[in-house]
Amino acid sequence: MLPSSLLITRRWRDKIRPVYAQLNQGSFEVARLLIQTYGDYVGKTKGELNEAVNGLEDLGYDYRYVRGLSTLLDRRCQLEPKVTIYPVKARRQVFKIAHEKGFPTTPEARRAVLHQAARELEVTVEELEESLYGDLGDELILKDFRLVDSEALVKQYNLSLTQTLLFYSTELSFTTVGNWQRIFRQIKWLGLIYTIRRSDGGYEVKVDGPASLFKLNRRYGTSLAKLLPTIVQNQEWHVKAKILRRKGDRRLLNLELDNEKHGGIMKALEMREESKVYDSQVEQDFAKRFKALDTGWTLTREPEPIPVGRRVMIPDFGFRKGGLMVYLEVAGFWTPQYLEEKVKKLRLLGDVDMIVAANRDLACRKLGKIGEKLNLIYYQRRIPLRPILDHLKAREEHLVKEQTRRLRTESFLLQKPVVETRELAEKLGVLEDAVKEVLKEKDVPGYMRLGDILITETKLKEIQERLENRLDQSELSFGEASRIIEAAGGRRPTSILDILGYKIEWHGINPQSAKIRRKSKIRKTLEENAT
Amino acid sequence: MLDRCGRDRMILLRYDKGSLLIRGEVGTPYGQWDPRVGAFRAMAIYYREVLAYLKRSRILYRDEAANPPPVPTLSCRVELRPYQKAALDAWFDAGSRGVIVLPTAAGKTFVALKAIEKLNVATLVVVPTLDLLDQWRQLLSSQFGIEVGAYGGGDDTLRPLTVSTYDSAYIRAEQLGDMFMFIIFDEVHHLPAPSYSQIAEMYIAPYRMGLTATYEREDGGHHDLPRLVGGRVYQLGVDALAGKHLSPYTHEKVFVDLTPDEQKLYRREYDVFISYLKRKKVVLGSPEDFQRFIMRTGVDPEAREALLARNRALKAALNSEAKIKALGEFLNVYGEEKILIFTRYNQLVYRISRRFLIPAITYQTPREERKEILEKFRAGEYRVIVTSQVLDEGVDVPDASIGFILSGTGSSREYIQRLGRILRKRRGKQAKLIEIVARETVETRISERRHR
Repeated sequence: MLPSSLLITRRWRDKIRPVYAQLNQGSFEVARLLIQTYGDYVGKTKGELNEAVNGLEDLGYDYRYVRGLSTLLDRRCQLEPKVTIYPVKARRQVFKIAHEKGFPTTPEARRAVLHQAARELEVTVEELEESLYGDLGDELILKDFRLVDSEALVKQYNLSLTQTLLFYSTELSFTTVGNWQRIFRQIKWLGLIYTIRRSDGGYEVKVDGPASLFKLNRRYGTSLAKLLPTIVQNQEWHVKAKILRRKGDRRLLNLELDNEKHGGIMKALEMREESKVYDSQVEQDFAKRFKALDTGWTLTREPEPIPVGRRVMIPDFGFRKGGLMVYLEVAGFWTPQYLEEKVKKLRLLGDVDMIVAANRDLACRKLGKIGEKLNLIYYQRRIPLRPILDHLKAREEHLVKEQTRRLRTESFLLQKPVVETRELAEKLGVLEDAVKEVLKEKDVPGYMRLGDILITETKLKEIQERLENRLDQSELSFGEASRIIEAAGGRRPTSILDILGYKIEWHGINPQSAKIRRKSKIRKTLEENAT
Repeated sequence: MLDRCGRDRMILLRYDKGSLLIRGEVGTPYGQWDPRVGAFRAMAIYYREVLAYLKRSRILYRDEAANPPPVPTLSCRVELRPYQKAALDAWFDAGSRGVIVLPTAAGKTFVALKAIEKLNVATLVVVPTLDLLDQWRQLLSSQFGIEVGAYGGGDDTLRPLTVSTYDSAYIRAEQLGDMFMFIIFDEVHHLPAPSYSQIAEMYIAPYRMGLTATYEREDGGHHDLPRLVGGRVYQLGVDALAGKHLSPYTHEKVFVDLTPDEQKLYRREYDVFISYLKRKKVVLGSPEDFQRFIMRTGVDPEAREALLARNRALKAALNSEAKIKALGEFLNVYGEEKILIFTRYNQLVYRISRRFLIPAITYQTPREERKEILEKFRAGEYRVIVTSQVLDEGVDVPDASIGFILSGTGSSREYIQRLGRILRKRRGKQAKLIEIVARETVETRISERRHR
């Protein structure tokens, strides 16, 4: 966070955004120069350093950028006074004598006062003069400076600049993936209030403060600014804020940022380590083992908050695949009441699919009937993967069946000449397996299915012609054939070559040395079909 | 109490982070439905009104909003002068709310002390500077003989009588807002700023007192005071007191010429500024004009250079060696009197302090040392202090008889208060204010503006 006077923004229509330092050589160069200057001035006074830094303000860059960087660098400085005697003591003595002797208005009289004071304090006059105001900011000595990489500094600057703009915010809304426990803990700690609502695909959290109810209020701007780093340290995020730039402004301006456009340019200098993200060893160990498997499911830690009444529940893990979401809650120490509470909450939620993993050793009492109402698995030391994988598989199969049934009655409208089943599944909002299942049963008019791609007959024909032209001239390697196919917009060359009636003669593993040959019989069949 | 359906119909009032939460099925005036928490919410400032409404309407309620620390019996030995008594009575008549306007040194604090004694409730005094914080703290503890709490300048202790800076009272509003029944705003003209006004809004204190010598604000902010503290209940101007309770004063202006070098520097830099204005046809008539110009410096390097040149010119004039020489001559003449020297620039404070070996107070002075210097000044051990703006308001420096101004910002309030500081009552003594102004520079104009 920087002083507001160093804030640089751009406004257009009802939008506002900080003017970020570009990640280019120029910005880095200014940062590097400053870092170097700070390093060079270790052992000198802060006043001298300040003057050197002021001298860098007129390099053609916005002085506010230069000062912003130096504000951040100031925080990396260790300053200490260079004095022979305690300055307050020195002053006390000097002022006392000056009052007794009368204030010196000539250099000689002044020297006399200092002489007497120095003698009484048992130091030299020079030492006394040096100590007299040695504790003033400008006189402090730069003892140590923690070095920093120039790119990291520029990214920290951009983050700080955004935070500084948020000082003027009246509310902040965001969506993100992961780290939710920490985000909510911080919201609470900062004395803010959140409301949460569904927004396309996820949940959007709006944050403001108690008094925001009465009037537009920038009181919570600083707190909102403090929340920002926690959000943007995630991989995926989208942040919106309402900005009241000047007191009298009637109009609120919109600040909107997301990880795709701004994630790369801002980053906190001191980031938390990955291992600290986990509450326990058990969770970390589970995540590691699950990620090592190739399940096709993405595992996210604290994926999203689920609103339950006015509160939220943040499951420890989420497994995502296609449109499927399954949650896992890890219960270390638990009581039947705890689980009962969970059951109640889950009922409120209706169709939320949640597995609860409970530590068998830490159960304080035997579990009665509650277990039956919950999707409960027990663990000792490690969370077992098998029951979880079984559950995910069952969910997937069930969904595939359901989707297959639905897809049977639908007709596919494809535009591109070559379509992967994966793409098609995404477009239809179903699992890929469901698409594959349906394609076994019915054809898409005008398309042929080759493994996991669909391709139009016209496109196949075009590819065939190109390959034939080429083969007429000379031998054709597999590598080159692949390039021809891909240049024509095709994919999966092996499947296409096969369906077009070519075979590949391998000589070693190098595709350049593999040769393409015609299998004339099948090729003829295709030609007949075409005519 | 339960209704026929067995529901609890009692209204529950609670303090929640700077506001009042009203749980129950009755809407109250000033309450607004807050869907985020499912309850009515009102600004804490309306605590008294909400309570009055519930009582008047015979609605049963439980009040958990106020959580003041227990207060011992408070008594002080203060005897009020007639006009102080009149001010206090007017304030009580207005329902223990409102602003009392008295000139500096007329003993506003004594009026407040008497009010504290009579109300005998947990009280917060809000002050603009650390000096005032120390001073109030000392006064309260010596008058009531109890330990006094403080927030600001590194202190955070809560006691039945507590003093806080405006900054700390604002930042900690959520934690402190339910702890006090009586809140006193010293130098209350600071309150109607967008941030500080939230202090008034977020504290429940039903009794409120504002103290100031200058009720009006140039931005019209004082129109918000009746809502925040209560209206102006009593006013007495400087003229009504001068000669009777306050010593009369004289005011002199001394012009000095810049040294030839300073003059050259001044002309050169100021020309850069003026020629920019002429070239770009910029008119700087009003404060708004100037703000626009400052904004321009963010995008236009030439404007920035012009501004920097202007600042260098001003600095040369304000920090002029000629003025220091003049000050030295005055010190030779008045060296035996009690003197306060004001200047706006810390750098100049330290230059004067080093040159004449005079104790200095700026925002950089350690708290303990600042206290020590003021105490010694009070006791007569020190006769002269040089200081920048931090001492501007209401610091109790008894019987200083001469004030020097070496630079100023030209606002009328500043003038009154700086003047007020040296108007401490002293038998048979004429107070003197001497301004040292560089001739034929913009500073002459600042100095003239000050008299308007």
